[in-house]
Amino acid sequence: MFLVITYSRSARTSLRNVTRAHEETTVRQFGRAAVFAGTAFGAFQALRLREKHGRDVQVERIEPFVPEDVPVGVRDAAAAYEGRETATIPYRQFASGRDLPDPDTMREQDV
Amino acid sequence: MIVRVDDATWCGAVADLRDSDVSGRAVAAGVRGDDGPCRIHCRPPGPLFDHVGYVHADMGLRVRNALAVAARSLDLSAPQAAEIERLRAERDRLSVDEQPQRRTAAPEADPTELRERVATLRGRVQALEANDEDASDARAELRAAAAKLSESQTARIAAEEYRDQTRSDRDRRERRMRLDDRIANRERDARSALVERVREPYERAVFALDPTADPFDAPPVVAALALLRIGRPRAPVVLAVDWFPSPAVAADWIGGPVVRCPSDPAV
Repeated sequence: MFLVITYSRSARTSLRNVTRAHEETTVRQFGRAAVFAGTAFGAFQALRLREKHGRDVQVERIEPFVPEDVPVGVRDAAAAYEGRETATIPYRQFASGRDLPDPDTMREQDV
Repeated sequence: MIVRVDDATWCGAVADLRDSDVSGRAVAAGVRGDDGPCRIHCRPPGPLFDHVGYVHADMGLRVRNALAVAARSLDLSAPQAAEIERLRAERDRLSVDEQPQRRTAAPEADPTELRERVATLRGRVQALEANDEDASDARAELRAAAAKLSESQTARIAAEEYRDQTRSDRDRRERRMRLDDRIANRERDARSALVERVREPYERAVFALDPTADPFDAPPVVAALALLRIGRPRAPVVLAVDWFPSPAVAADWIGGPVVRCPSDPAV
């Protein structure tokens, strides 16, 4: 799929027109941004907007998120932290002393 | 005002071109200073001219916008003016990168793997040299691997720099759009404020022309004539409708010069 973000009023108007005219290609619309279907037609609409508005249009390819693609330690950390008993404890403190990754390591780690 | 069509010339506040075959559109172009069949020497048209300068049967008109422009023609200003000016200045200071986007390929090789390979090869060269064996092949391999590593690091740094630049450019674009939104909102408020300041005289003018008309839903010709009554058009008004008994009465109503021309043929 394609994430299209606009950075000017005119580009935003064009994006709205496209999403209104092509509901079947619009997966989601968020005001100045939209997700287009990963079809040739979705790419065509994204490219048209880029041709028309240049750098005022950002296009990114996106794909559905599958939690299983993320290292198991990160998933376990998220589950453990959300299941914590003390609501106010920051994650850094929560992780130290447990077998959980510390936030700085996770910031450096590409997944 | 001096109006010239072919060999004929009109001077003064009224020019009656109904007997000529020049179109209202051509006269309006003449007021704007175009060199066409109708040449007009007059004060240059202001923004009000764009809205109501050429009054004809199938004209369109956005009354509220035109009312705000008419108010400005009277040197009225909205309380939002200073803030709008400040926001505009702030917006104009934001510069964005106008270069077309560059394609950057992310470095393909994994740097960790490359670093490990360089270390391994370095070890092998050292081991061979320590044993007094021929290390020239291993040394060539090490050189190639080291070159590849440095190339990949350079590419990665360039890609990161470019990504940071793109991000800050988008930050600026985003700020610019937010400012544009605020400017548009303030301008809308300013228009409403200006409309309020001229609403009463405008409603009176519409009533004088057509007591049955709703001032904000009046036929465009009626609204345009009312706007011309209350605003200050500066440039001559091009009139292609039979509303007034004579061009002189029209000029009186408008309070400025009038060029009366034949109605445009229906499109």
